[in-house]
Amino acid sequence: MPDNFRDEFTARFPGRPVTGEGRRIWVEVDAEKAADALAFLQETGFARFCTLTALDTGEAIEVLYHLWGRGALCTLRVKLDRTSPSLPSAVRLFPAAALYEREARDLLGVEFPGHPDPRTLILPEDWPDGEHPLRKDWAAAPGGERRG
Amino acid sequence: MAEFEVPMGPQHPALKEPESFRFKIDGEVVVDAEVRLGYNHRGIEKACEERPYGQCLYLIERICGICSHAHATAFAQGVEALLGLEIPARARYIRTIVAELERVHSHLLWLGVAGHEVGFDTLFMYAWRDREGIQDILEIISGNRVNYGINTIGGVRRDIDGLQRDRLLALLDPLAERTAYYARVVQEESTFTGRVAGVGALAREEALALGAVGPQARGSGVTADVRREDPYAAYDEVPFDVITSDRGDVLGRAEVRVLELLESYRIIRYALEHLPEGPLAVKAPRKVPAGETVSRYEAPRGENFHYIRADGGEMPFRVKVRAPTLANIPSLIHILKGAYVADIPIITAAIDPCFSCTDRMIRLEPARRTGSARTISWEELRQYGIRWYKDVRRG
Repeated sequence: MPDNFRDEFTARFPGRPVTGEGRRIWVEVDAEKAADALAFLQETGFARFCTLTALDTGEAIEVLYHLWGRGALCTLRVKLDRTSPSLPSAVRLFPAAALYEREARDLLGVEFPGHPDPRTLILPEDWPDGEHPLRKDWAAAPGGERRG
Repeated sequence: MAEFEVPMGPQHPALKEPESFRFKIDGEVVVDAEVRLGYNHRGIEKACEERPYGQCLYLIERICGICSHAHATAFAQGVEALLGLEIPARARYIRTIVAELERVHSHLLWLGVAGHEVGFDTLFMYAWRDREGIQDILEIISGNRVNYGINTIGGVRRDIDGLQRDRLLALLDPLAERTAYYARVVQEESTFTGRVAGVGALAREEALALGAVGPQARGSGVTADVRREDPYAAYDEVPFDVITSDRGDVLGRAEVRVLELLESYRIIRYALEHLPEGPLAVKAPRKVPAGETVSRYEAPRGENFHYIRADGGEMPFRVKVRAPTLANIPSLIHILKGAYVADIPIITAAIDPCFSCTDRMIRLEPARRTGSARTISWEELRQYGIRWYKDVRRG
């Protein structure tokens, strides 16, 4: 972990967990602080937006932002409610996030208000609304037929 | 003059990530471009959630036919990190050697395609002939020209013996000599430079902001190379230089790839000469303790990114893969805006999206009110680009 990172982060986001070793850092903030945390990380040297992972843990949708800088990969975790997961778009800060947010919207149903072009990226145009294949409770219909 | 909309793609079974582009053109200039993905989305991430880790490795190796080792290694080292496994030194070196062989065949393939797209087919034939030598070596080492199946969780499945080592070492010198010649051709031969210098300009800041990776980023002066900044396998023990170019155009990207070939030969030679003795793999348990990890790998096209979450069972809870081509699409779209139609093939080829097979269908569609549609193939567009440049030069 880069020098002082733990202190810098906890000074800005008191009580939030910072873990990791070597070239990996894991931090977590609440959804309403996500935009602040991304701006903070960009200002403190994590300038390269590698990608974004979204996953369904069964209890929550997690969005993980992976940023490279200061010789380490920092992953920022945000936990969202499963019923209507939503996070402000990071595209204004990190233009590289645009395609990854659209992917997460398709596959896990996370909305990113403020996205300049929030269209379907991966799923077919006639894909039914509300079907998100990477949700844990989603399964293809028997025989591999598409549902809907 | 009215603006035309030109859809391009999406279907092409040979592309690892089939893409559909839609261009708005005004005369010869692209004024807007957009991309649509997913035409060959195979649901591999979802499929991995229903398979044991060992089977996932095979599935993941098949994400891409060109960088199969890239994906398999990224996944294997992620699972090894979750297991807390230290793999044997010999396995780390063999992974590195195969990784660089893969980079060499991929970059030579690219060099040929780039030559072909600009109408310089001599370069195409030279580069692809040399690539065959590497393919032969890969076949000798692994039994396959693609999908080498070298990795297992905990190490590698195949050794490199003395005979294979000597065959490979004997190939490196002539290959390095020929590559040095290609480097001169790429940098000096006007048949090539005339079509790529100043084309597809991408500034360093733009490359960073748009998340470009690999030669697309390094060709714009960004020193992003996972092998150096986040070393894996044996890269922290093997000497090599990270190649960058400040040109920021297609020529810069070509320069980076050709000079990287020379670094790859250096890495392969060093790794072969310093190949540690010892076992090839350690035994990996079937169940992976709960946890999560991020694994990065410098594929020939740039950073390959895997995220793996384990829940303590025999199958991954979540696997996420971000291949380098996806990361390079935003910067590709950016530089296509303002480019000439004649430069679409070479600018697109310059991110190396596996355009090894051509004849992608392209539909030139005039605005609806003005009449009929015309369809041309990728090959026709390539020919059009070559002719157009000849006419421009003739004045």
